[in-house]
Amino acid sequence: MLQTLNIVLLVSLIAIALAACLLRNLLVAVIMFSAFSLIMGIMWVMLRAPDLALAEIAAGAVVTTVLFVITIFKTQRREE
Amino acid sequence: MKNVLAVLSTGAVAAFLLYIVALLPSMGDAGNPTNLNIAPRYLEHGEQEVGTRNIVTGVLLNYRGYDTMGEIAIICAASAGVLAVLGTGKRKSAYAFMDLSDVKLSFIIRTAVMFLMPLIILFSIFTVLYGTTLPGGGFQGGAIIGAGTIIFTMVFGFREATNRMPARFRTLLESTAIVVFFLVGTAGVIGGANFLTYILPQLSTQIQPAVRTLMLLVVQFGIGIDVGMIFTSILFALLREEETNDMECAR
Repeated sequence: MLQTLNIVLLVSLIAIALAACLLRNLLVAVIMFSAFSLIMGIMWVMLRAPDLALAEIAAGAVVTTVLFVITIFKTQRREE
Repeated sequence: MKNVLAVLSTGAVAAFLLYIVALLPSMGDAGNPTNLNIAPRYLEHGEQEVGTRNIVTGVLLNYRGYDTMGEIAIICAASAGVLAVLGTGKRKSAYAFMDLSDVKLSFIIRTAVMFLMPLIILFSIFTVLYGTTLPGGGFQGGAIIGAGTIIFTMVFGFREATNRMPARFRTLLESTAIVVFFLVGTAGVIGGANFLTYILPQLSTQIQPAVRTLMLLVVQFGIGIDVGMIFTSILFALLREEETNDMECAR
């Protein structure tokens, strides 16, 4: 059971990381990055590192995401 | 042609790295070199030597206190750099985009946030206070406070948030961690022990553990306040806009 959950989380981690790199829409990429942090936090809990999980979720999934969104909001998009 | 070359070289490097990973000792194996020498010492004598039930905090603040102090110094320096680039003008007319919006957030969201804010602050204080016995600590508590500030600012607006947390408070508190860390570390040196061991040899053995826990708590609170204020300051500096800038753009 735990093994299956582990595999599902790892595969989705790789998929989300690839999506965050490859997507052209910056806002969606940032949301993907936030989801990456969330799943990484669950992985930390499963690896018995709850200290890291707290820091990952608070700093990685919440604070950096909002800072990125504000930056995207204040900059202009230009297509080449 | 160039693309094919790039893909080939990247694939070669990736295959090499994966081969190296396959050669590494398997995770969590009791016979690993990292689990043989130093980890048993931490786990067996840590609680007695450091005085914390949560051994992660003990390693961070006591055994590897120097490293943590360096990390905090790096965070302070990085935040100083970010704030120097973004600018922290003291002009009263500063505003952010949510202050200009005609749409006010709904009553439900305002009430929910008003109910949640004290709980978030309480949880962050709990995380810092119990960092020595439960998972948590200064950095986590500070990050939770930072997340709470973000929620407050998004709902009640930039002006309200900067009124609640004025710049003069924040600039004062942004470097508490490094100062507190250094002072507590030096207290041990004055007492005759090593730097950052949280030991005052003059005290009797009965009070020693309590004093040590108190010193750890002071350092944790310093780190928590520092990290929270740094996150808040960077958020405000990113959000702020001044009327003069818009005028120049219009020209």
